[in-house]
Amino acid sequence: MRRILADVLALAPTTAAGLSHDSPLFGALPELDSMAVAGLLTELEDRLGIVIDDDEVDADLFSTFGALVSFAERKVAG
Amino acid sequence: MQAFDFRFVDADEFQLPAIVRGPADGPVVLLVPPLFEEMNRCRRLLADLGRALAARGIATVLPDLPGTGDSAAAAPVASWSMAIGALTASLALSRPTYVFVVRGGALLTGGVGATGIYRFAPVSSGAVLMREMMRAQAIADQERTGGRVSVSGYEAELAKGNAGRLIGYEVTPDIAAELAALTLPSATSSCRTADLKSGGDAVFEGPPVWRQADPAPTHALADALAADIAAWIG
Repeated sequence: MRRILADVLALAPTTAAGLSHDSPLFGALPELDSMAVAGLLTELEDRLGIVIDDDEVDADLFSTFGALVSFAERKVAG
Repeated sequence: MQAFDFRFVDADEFQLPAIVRGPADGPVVLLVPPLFEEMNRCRRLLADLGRALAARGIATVLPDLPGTGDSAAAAPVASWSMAIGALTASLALSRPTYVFVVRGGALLTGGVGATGIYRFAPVSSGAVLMREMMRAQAIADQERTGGRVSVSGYEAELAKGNAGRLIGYEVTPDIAAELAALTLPSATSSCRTADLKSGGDAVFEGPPVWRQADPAPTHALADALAADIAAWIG
C-alpha cells in the first residue's frame, strides 16, 4: 500500500516511509486531491485485482493510512 | 531555450492553435493531449517532450483540441478524433509523420495516416476515464457537503438528460454517451506502447503527472521518452 501510494502520488520516499497507521491522508497530503483519490482507486483495483463498488467510494476511506490498508485487506480477503 | 512557433494549423474545418517546435523538415511527431483535467496536468510533460525531441532534431506539433485551451468551438468528442485525423493527414502530405498519444488521447486515434503511433500510458476506454471523473467528483462533493454522494447519482442525472459538472467540466448527456463509447482503437500503423508500469514495450520511471494536483517536474521523464521515440523513429 505504501508502495502504491508512493507510486501514484509520487510521494517523497521519506513521506511514504513515514506513514503510520494513524497518519492522516485526504486533506493532509497536498498530493492527494479528489482526482488523485479516484486514480488511486483505479490503481488499487488494477494492482490488487479487486473491484471497488461505486457506493464504497467514500472520502473516509482515505482519512488515514490505516483506514485505507484495512479497506484494501477486507477487499482482497473478499 | 529553443524557439517555438505558436500558430494555427488547419485540420479540416478546424483551425487549431498549436505549438510547433523543431526543424521545418524531416520527421514530425503530432503530440495528442489527454482529455479533460488530465490535459492540464500533462501540459508540462508535453512541452518538455517537445523540447527534448527538438534537441534531437525531431519536430513536434502540439495542438489544442477543438473547444479546449485556446481553441474556439464547442467540443463534441467526435470533433477531437476528426481534428486529430485531419491534422495527421495534412502533416503526412509533406513529411514522415508519427503520432504520440498519452492517456485519454489514445482513444482519439489509432494512427490512421501516420507512419507510426507511440502510446504512453494509454487509457483503455472512455468508460474508465468517465468513471474516474465521477469518482473524483463524488469525493470532492463529499468533502464539500460532508454528506454521502454516490457515483450513481451522476449517472442517474445524465440518464434523465441533465448535464452535470465533473471535475470542473460541463458534461452533457451527449458528451457522456460519446465518451462512454470510446475504446482504444486498434493501431493501424507501427505501434509502440510505453507506460510507468510493465506490460508494454517499454517501462519508464517517472511521476504519473496526470494524477497529480501539482505535477512533479518532468524533465527526466520527457528526456527518456524522447530518447526512446527517437530510437523508434530511427
